[in-house]
Amino acid sequence: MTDSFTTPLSYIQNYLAAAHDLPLADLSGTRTFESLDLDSIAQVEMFVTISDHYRIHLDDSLASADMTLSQTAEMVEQALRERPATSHRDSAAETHAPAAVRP
Amino acid sequence: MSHRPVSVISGVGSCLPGRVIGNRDEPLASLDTTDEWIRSRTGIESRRWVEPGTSTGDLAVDAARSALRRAGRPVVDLVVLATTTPDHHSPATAPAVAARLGLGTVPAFDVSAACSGFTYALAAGDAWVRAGTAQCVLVVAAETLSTITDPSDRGTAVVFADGAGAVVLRAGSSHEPGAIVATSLGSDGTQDDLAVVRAGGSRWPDHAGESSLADRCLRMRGPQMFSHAVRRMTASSRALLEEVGWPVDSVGAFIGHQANQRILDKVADLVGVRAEARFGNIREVGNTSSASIPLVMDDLVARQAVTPGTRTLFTAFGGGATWGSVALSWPLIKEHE
Repeated sequence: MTDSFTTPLSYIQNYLAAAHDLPLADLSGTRTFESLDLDSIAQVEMFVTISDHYRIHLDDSLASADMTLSQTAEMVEQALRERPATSHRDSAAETHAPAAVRP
Repeated sequence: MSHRPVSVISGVGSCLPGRVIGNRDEPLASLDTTDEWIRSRTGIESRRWVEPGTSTGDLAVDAARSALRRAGRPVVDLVVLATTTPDHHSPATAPAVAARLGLGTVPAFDVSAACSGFTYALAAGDAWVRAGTAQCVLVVAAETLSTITDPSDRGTAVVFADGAGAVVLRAGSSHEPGAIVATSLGSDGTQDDLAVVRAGGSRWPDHAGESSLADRCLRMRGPQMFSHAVRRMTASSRALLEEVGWPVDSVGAFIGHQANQRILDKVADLVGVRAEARFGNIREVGNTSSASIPLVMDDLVARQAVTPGTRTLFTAFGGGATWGSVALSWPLIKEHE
């Protein structure tokens, strides 16, 4: 479902609709996570999913219940602008030292 | 063609204490929570806690005895025990376990890598076999987390549990079911406050007795732990699969550390593990830290739920922070009297 979304907000809206069975029409950019009755873990799940999709690092310590979907999308856009040439996934793999692989 | 030895899993065993604590049972019933809250946040419906007086070493001995029996009671020349809850600060628990099992004076040591402990211990045992230093290694992961759990702390009391699992490694060939294909470990000490017992160590021995029960028990930063666990286990799994050249849809058995069902689901989704390849027992057993992977493994062996030779991936994340993954083929475990 990932490549057809033109904006981070669209991705977030569609992710929430699919993951939490929410009507897409109810997911305007001004909605807060609290108003959607999503718990703190749901917000972290979303941040991790977005980070993985866009290969960016989103600081989930900045997540809060009163954050809107548009504000979250702005965080993504900011991270995309600041994204280094090496992707997040590549960076994660670099820190993961293989211990032993059979020949 | 390489003639270097490969380690092969030849025995699996486990031990769960008999005391079952459901979400509606005391002491959880006195917490500011509900069965529905616990299930929706963690996926856990019940967990096992030891009775007072039962130690990690006791569980380890029972699990190891079962694994050794299934392996045909081989001559063991190394014991590695992963635990966060040793019987004592000092000495290590592994030598006493080895002695109680009648294994004589073999080398025996503990591994402290929190919930990743089994992957670390398995990697250590595998390395001894590959190096030719050992022919047969007993790897045990055992925990009595209830002994470092504050029953009034909702964030940990509903999650942590007790249990032990064990595997026997022997020197063999890479074509055998049960062969360890690759291991990969990592750590990030900048995240050492994700899950910590503050009092009782050299940093704060607390000889004056100023610490509270909360200080002497495991505290966890839940949302932060969730985030780091998902990111690290996902990256570790992907990196190891790439290393061994396995397409993810060729993995027939995926066992993640049973930390939280939502963590397990997210990791499996991001890695792309097929639904039918995902195995776990957190609903009935809770989070048993390092013991969780071999506990799932033993349950699957008992139910013959996985075909020997199936491509298998373990992945774990724990306090420290530590993480590890293991690629192996599913073992053929024979029953011995």
